Amino acid sequence: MNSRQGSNVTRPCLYRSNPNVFEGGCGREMTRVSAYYPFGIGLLAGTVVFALAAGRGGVVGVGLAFVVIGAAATWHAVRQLSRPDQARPEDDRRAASGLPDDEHQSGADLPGWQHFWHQVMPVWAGHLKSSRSQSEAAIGSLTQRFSGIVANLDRSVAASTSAEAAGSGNGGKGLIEVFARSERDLGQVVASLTSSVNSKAAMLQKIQGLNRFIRELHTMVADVARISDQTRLLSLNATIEASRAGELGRGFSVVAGEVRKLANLSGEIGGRIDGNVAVINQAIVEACKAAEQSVREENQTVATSEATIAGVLASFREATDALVESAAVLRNSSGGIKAEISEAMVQLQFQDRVSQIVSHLEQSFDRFLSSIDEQEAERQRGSGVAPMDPAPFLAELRKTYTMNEERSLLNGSAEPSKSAGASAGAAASGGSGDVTFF
Amino acid sequence: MAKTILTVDDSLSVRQVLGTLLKSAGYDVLEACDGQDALSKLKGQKIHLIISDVNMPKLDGIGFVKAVKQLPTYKFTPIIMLTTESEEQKKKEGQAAGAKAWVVKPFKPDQMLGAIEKLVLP
Repeated sequence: MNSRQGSNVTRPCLYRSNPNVFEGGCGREMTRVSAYYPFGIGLLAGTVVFALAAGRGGVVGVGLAFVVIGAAATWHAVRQLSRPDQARPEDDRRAASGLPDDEHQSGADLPGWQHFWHQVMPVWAGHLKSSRSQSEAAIGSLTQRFSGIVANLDRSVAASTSAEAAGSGNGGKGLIEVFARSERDLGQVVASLTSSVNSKAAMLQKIQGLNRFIRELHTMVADVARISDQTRLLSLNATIEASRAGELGRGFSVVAGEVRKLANLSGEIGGRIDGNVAVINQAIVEACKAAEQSVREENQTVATSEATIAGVLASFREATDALVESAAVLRNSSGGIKAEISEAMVQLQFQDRVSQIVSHLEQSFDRFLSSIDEQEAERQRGSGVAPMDPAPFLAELRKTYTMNEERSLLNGSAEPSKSAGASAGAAASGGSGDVTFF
Repeated sequence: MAKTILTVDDSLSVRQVLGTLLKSAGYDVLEACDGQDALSKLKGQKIHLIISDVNMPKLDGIGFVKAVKQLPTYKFTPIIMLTTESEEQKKKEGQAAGAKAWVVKPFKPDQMLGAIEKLVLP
């Protein structure tokens, strides 16, 4: 119903000077209500800001704060209007003079107010509900992303630790264990090479030991040659002596000739032996030279290999140490970031509390509309319409509260701003974080 | 073997904050958005501890705790109530229903993990 229809319809007087009798129009309230329009506008503006901030991933809390402050101010306006005992002096003067006011003349009435609130309240409640939904969705999405980041950090740290760790725990695949095993294997290769070189050196020494036998053979050949010469000289003397003996020495001369032949033959054999020994000696000398050259080269190879392996291992160790250090830095940084994100996530619990507060505000809007309906029903029954009593209304509102800061706000024992700060910062009021064991 | 914890809360952000905290501490986590959902999640699972909100749609926390205590498998499973409620009367209701601890939101991670360690059997 339009608030300006019919002058015979009594206008709701949420505020009036006499609490016991309904006195008709109270156009003064229009002036008072209009004073609270900015709060309503603040509520709507806050809702718009909140929606924009949430949509762009901006500071959702700022928009939400606008909404809550606007809603609280509006509720404050409604409470002021419903108090029968707080008439302003000019209102009292106007009532005492009996002069009608402009709004009374215009025909505003209780059904009009009922219509007004039934139109406006659901819109405000809708904005609050929308704000709450967007806040829940945005914070939910935020916590989900944070949760994903924490999980990724966990995986990165685990992978880094696994790559770095010593092999005992992960089948020997750790970087440090791989390095240690490579160092051991390469050390064995160098040891094998050194062993081979040592074997060759030992063999060389044995070959060089053959020289002693060559020298002995040379001595023996010289002895054979000397014996051959002396035998030949002796056979020559025997031939001379045989020729002196004449016919009697003929046979002896033959023997002496045979002895000389044997002496010559042994001398020739000695010469051949000497030649062969010289060849063998030359072969041994050359073999020794070749073996010495080989041993020297292999020693050089082993030394070069050892130096190369040591260099490679040093580089590898340097790289490993750098990786281990970098992994440790990564792990520490990841741990720090994870702790920061976890802490930030814990702070996001404010959304649950804000959501509950807004939900209670929505419930109180519904209750307010019911109260207006009840008052209108009383008016239609013809009974005197009693002023709206805030006490039962607030008592019912109190029943919906779950947080101490809400109750404190209702009792007037805490400033709204402080209360809001407490819910965001967690601990100051309401026993936040307290643990009770049963 | 990691212990499994069921978190019951109609607030997605609270469930996710709890989930992240508990997984980081080495627990497996199951989530439910109200008492009814939680009762259905209990079937066929081995749950070592339950963390439940109080004010939830469909089936509230107190009703849920009472229902859990009727289940032979979960009769002795410890339950922590995690709620914005801090009134003594509500705490007494939780205790009477069978909860083992009452934590007021917003919780502090150390206190929550301490309470869990105290209640979960080794």
